[in-house]
Amino acid sequence: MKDLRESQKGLLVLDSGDLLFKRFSNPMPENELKGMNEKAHLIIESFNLVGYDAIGIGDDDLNLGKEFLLEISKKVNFPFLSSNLLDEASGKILFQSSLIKKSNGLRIGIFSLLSPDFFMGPSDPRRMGLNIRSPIETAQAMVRELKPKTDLIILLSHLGYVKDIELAQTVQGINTIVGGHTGINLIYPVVIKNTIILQTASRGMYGGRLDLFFYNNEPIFYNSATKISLENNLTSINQRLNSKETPEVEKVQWQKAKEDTERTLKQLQGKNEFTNHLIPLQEQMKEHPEIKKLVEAYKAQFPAAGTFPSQK
Amino acid sequence: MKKIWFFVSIFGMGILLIITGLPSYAQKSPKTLTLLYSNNINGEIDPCPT
Repeated sequence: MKDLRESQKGLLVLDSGDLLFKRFSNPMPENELKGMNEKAHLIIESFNLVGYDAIGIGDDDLNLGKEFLLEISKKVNFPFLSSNLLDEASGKILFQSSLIKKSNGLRIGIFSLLSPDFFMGPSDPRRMGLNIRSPIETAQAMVRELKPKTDLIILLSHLGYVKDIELAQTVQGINTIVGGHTGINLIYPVVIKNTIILQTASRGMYGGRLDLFFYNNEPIFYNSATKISLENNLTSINQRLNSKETPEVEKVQWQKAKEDTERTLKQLQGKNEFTNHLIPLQEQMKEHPEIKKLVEAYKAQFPAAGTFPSQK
Repeated sequence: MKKIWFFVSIFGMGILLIITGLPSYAQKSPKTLTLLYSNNINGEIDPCPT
């Protein structure tokens, strides 16, 4: 992180939710509640130290209820975003609806959506006191609001992968969706109607890094891997064309393939590109010394609560 | 005298070209933005095997 902040002119650090707690179970074990509370505080302190820019809210972030989440959201240096979570009583939006960040001369609009489908019906305690507005209607409204004021729009989505694809097909103007809930490791991001869809595996196994290269002001990007693949293809085609062993009859077809490939490469010139990498977060990585102290203090207080059942 | 001024101006133009750079038709350096992203950490504080 430190190296990136020094080397990258434009940098944003984002999370799309289900940060604070393990997967919801009903009822929540009473003897774990205190540990959950303390761990949530540990996590947000750590995120303050890492320097996140925004976090979307997931269904499991509501495991201790909306009041807990509202309270803990005041202790962070960045906003918890949710554009479609409303207070049931007042009808008002509960969290910050969107954020505009300036980075490397770009204005980036960020908003967040949570799916109503992840709650186990009206009796789900996480949903108490909440109304969840339609994600598609909210997305359309947020794009209308943010588009005139920004160069790029990012959605922190807690809709699940399938709904991310549906949303990208339905709503124009969202340039990147940082997805969540499903926990699918998308090494090659899906691009649907110029919307790049991202997601990584769950439980912090991977962190994602998307690099956007703006050659022009239109926020439409293609995967640099496509250009590399075409260039490699062109090399192979040229080898075939130059080979004495290639029959003359075949050379006609290879020549056509060469022209098609060169034409496609030419069309990509001047277009904006992206690269995406999923970085495995391993024990060998250097730890942040202050975060390490926080974790050790927590484990000293709650020796069993820091692990998932499969690790015990 | 005219010859001297001629050579001085040629020399000066040469220096200017070097300072400002010859016209380049290569793709200009892009503006960049890096997004680091995470999701579904689910309260995990120990590194998980990948």
